[in-house]
Amino acid sequence: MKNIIAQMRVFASLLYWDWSMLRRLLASRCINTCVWVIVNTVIAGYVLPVLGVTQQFGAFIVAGLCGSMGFFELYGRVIELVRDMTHDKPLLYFATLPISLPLFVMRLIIGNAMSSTMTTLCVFPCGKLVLGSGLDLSGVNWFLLVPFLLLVNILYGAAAVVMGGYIKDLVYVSNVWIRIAYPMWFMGCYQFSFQILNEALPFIAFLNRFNPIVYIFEGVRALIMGQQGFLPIEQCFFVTFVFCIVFIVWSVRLIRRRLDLI
Amino acid sequence: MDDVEGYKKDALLEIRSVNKSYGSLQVLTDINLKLYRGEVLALLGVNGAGKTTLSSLIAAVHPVATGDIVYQGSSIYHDIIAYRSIIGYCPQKISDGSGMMTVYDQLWFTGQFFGITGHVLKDRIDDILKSFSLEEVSDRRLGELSGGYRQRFALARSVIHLPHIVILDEPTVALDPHVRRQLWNYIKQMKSQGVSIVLTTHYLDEAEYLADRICVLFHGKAFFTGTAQEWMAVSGTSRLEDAFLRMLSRGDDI
Repeated sequence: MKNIIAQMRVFASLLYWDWSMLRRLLASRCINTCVWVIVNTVIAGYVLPVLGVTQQFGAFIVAGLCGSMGFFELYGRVIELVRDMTHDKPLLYFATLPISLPLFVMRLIIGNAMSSTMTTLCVFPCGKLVLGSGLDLSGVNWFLLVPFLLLVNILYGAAAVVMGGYIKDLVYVSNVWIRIAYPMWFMGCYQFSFQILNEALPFIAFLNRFNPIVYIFEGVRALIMGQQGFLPIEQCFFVTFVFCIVFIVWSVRLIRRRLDLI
Repeated sequence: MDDVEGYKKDALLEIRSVNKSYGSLQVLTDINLKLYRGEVLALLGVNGAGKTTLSSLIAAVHPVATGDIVYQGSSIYHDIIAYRSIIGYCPQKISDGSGMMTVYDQLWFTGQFFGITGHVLKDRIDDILKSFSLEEVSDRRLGELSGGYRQRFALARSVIHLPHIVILDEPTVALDPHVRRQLWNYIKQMKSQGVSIVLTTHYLDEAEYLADRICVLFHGKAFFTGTAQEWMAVSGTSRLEDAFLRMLSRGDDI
């Protein structure tokens, strides 16, 4: 019991450490998010409708961006992690603290999730600012959306640890990004719904059933834009939760093996 | 050779028949070693001899393949969390991600990690800043500091929770000679406070100046354990460097 309390204290202190680091970078990250959201939303809300795309596409993209911010932060997170796990392995210092391996890895995951959750929250005001009445937030179920976004960002946080755990050196980060991460994101229903994909390319839609990003986008859209036309929110919640558990367990095993930790 | 004159007392830490391998590569073979209270034990060897691996086993970062590490009579693996709370670790390099935070803040967090809070922590930080001459840079970000200051900070951080054992992994590597000398004084100071120190180094002068005993690793085996004087006597040389070169020239015959 004494050990558990001691470990939880270290865990909480490490998260507070991460928060203190994040606070220093928060303004800069929020500006990055705003730039990205405004550019995407202006195109989706005002340019593409001229080409015949539905007027709702701006709101559709804002919802997609809510599910994407954790993904966009992945790259930087993976680079930091790979850097800290190669050569002098400065990350090992934290492995000498009185904390168990699962908590050590959970700290990495939640540290990542904290950062991407904060940037995700910037999406709403930016989207609203650009789209005005084109983005109706009155029907949003915030009691479901906030926990879902937390879950999503924990999943992205765990994905960063898994990717970092596999990449042996910084020079390979872009390979994983271009060959695996981006295709998953592009095919993962950022610019279209799963229903549309299923109508256009049923086989790709079937393969996409195994892509966690699909459930993230569909879930966020169902919660922001309404259930109609998207996968059931219960299904999105459940599958995202299951992927979350799988990625967390995977992260712990991978980091144990990669760094040869106790 | 472990129970040399002047160290006939109970070992604080005992490394018993430890082996370590990475895949098919055997890194450490049958290491037996004792660390006594208040001594500096230097781990010497060429690159790849197994120094850093052994020090990280002592720091409870990596598991042993076979064998055991015993602290005050019981295996460290029985209660690894308790063991980690009495050790301090000074790595070769501090994470770049820490560079955003000030020296004071980092020491404050390190104290928190080990359960030190409030006035006790504040007083401890003040003492540490003074002891390691870090007062003038306490509000500067770590990333802004020179290599010497950064390493001095790393030493200070490793002792803030008053550990029984401190593991220093090549603490003076790539530093100017005068900065190395400064750090040696801080290590001496740590020792005088009763801390047992495991010092990994490939600087023989450093080992000679700081260590009460040395353990020379060669091809992952403990080639010699004892005082520097004893090794020179055994090797028939008058300088540690000559003893080291003689060992290397014998190569695989050892």
